[in-house]
Amino acid sequence: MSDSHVDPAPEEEFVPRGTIAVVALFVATLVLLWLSIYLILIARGVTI
Amino acid sequence: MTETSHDEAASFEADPFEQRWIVVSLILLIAFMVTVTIAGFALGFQVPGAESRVDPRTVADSPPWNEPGLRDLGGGEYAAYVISRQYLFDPRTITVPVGSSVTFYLTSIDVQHGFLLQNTNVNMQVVPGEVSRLTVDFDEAGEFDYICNEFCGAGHAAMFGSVIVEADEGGA
Amino acid sequence: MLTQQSVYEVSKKDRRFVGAHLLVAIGALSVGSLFGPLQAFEWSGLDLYGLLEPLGLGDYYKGLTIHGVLNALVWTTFFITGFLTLVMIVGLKRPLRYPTLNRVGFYTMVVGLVMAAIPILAGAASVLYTFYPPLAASWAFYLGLTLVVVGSWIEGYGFYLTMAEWRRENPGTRSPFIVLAALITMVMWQFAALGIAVEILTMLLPAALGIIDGTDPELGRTLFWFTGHPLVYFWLLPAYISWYGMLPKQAGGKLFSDTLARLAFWLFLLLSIPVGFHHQFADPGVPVGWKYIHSILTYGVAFPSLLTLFTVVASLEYAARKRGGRGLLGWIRALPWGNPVVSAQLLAGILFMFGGIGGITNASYSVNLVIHNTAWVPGHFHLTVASATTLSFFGISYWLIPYLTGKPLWKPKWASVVNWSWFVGMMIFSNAMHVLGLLGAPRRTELGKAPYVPDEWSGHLFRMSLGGAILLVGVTLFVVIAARTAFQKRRFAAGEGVEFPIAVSMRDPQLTPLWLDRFRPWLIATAVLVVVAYGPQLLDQFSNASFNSPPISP
Repeated sequence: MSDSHVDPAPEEEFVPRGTIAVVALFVATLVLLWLSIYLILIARGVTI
Repeated sequence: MTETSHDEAASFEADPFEQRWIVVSLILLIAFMVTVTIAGFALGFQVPGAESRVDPRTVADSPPWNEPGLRDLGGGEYAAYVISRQYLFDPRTITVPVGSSVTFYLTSIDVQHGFLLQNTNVNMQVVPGEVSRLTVDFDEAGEFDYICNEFCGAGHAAMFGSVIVEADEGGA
Repeated sequence: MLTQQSVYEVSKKDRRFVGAHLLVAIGALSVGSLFGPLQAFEWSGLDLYGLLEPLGLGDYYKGLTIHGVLNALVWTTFFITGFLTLVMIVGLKRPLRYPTLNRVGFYTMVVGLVMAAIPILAGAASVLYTFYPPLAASWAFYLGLTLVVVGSWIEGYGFYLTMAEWRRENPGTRSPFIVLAALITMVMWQFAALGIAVEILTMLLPAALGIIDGTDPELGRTLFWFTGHPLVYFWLLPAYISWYGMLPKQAGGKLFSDTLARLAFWLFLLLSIPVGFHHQFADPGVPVGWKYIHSILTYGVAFPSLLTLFTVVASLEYAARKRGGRGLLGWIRALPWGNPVVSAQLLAGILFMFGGIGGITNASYSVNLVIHNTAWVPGHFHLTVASATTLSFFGISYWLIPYLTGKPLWKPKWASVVNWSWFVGMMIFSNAMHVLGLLGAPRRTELGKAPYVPDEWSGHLFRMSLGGAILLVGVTLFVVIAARTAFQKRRFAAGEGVEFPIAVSMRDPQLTPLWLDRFRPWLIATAVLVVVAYGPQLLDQFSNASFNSPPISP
């Protein structure tokens, strides 16, 4: 649509601090939940 | 990254924070990958593979499938041949002493089934024409149900059996 | 608001055409969704199927087939083809090049839907939406599904021809992001659907017609999952189009990175298909080496979703800060939560974060043994197709139906109630399902009749059905809002209306490198990767195929 009226340079310095916080929370949750399932696998014993 | 671009002004440009996120997410995925590789190929937490093929129409006529059930291989090792069909496992119960290592072989003579041995990692798709194999070590006495976890028809919910792991009674 | 140069006016005929897609989609959703809670209630001990017996719907697995086919296949495919049609027209500011071709595609899908619905309702296709052989359904079921797929392909051909015409008219211009993304979605789907097409045409349909005596079930599974996983991305990518290309605008901001948005879509084309064996980790007949390679490639396809997380959240943060949001996380409150179009997509995104975590777990090779074919799996995909996709489509509907009909959204506050009840209901439902799966509860089982259910499951079974009840309230309200909006007499007053939301990028898309706007290199790379990752094993299974598994009715 209005492709042509975008400023070529990034406008006012926008530092995505909040995004980094959200992403960090996500990674922490991911690692925690993933590890808990991985530990269930380990607890249930080998398969060969 | 820009060598294929014909447009001089155009370039691949990512925000510096986003570039760092790309690195972090790649490290994260590689860490998961390494962990599961070690578990699967070094520690013995392996998935079923290509075992062997059978003819679902005649498989139940010849050994070992003509006599489903447990084989004592000696040294605490057992092989269990289980036939799946609508809507039961044959045999319905398998009894082993505690401390035994049981390798389950499964096949189906009709439709697809599943074989989920509760509280273990033995969880296999059972497919006509194929043999599925996984092993479990029973370190504790108790009863472990194996249930069909793939839809196989109207009576699917009733399809299950049990492994009875008997406590050591001081024999031997 | 209306400062944009030349807002493209979509013709009334095209609006009706897109609207027809939505009518079928929401109609399918309204019927299919009724069976979800029935299953949930049955699991927790409240068997209501007896009440449906007089309607011929008393069979659990017939209901489960209807739920899967209508919600996962029909609601999605019809909504997606309709939505993408409008994206093409408005994005390119030109009508379809061959509108008749697209109409042929749509009516082919409708004929296919009717053809598949008859045997399902007659109880001659209670094989669930995965129809694994040798479970047998009527030939009409397979042919009907084939026609739905072929119809969606034909609509895709209409898109490509329209795009080719636009390229001729606009040499040297970067294609608009939403259009590129719509085309990638369609191309990916056409590539991916080859697996199911081969499965149905070489095995299932001939076996159903009695031309061959049996099928090779493991070959069937490999072909099915060639399509099955990218199918998930066919559902998801249209939601991503909205999250990247529309939501930033709706939230009052801009798209954070046009370049990375395009890169993510290309990576989805490249990596969606060669990952199917991660659905077959527990299968016999596939060597562990191939399963392992697909496990790694599945991690690869997680990467563009992780990119999406950053780009979409950053776009939202930019919008929120512009609206006066402050703090490390406090800005989230400054987003326009009161707008149901926005809140639907925000809540869909939150649910999808958990869906993504579960998905990475599923892909993790032997970790999959913990959850394969347990209640965890439907718990997982209700966070993807039934949340990321469905709840986003709810949000899109809130502006799309007014846009198409020229009638204002009926009771926007109630639309917010839909969103929140879907969010809360799904949180409860899917959490309970994940836990049940870890405890060993099987999926797709009439669990109320199972003799092996231990007491420790009962609390979670109750939570699961409570979630299901809340979801039923949400979806019912959604259907009412959609219908009341479309069929009311009230129209927008002059000067009022809804505009088609297109987010502006922070950086001029014309600065996006050309390699992110060309199909050929990506198509070649996709084909090569699929051949490398699937070729040898597919060849092996084909050359050793034994069609000796006779069809058996469920």
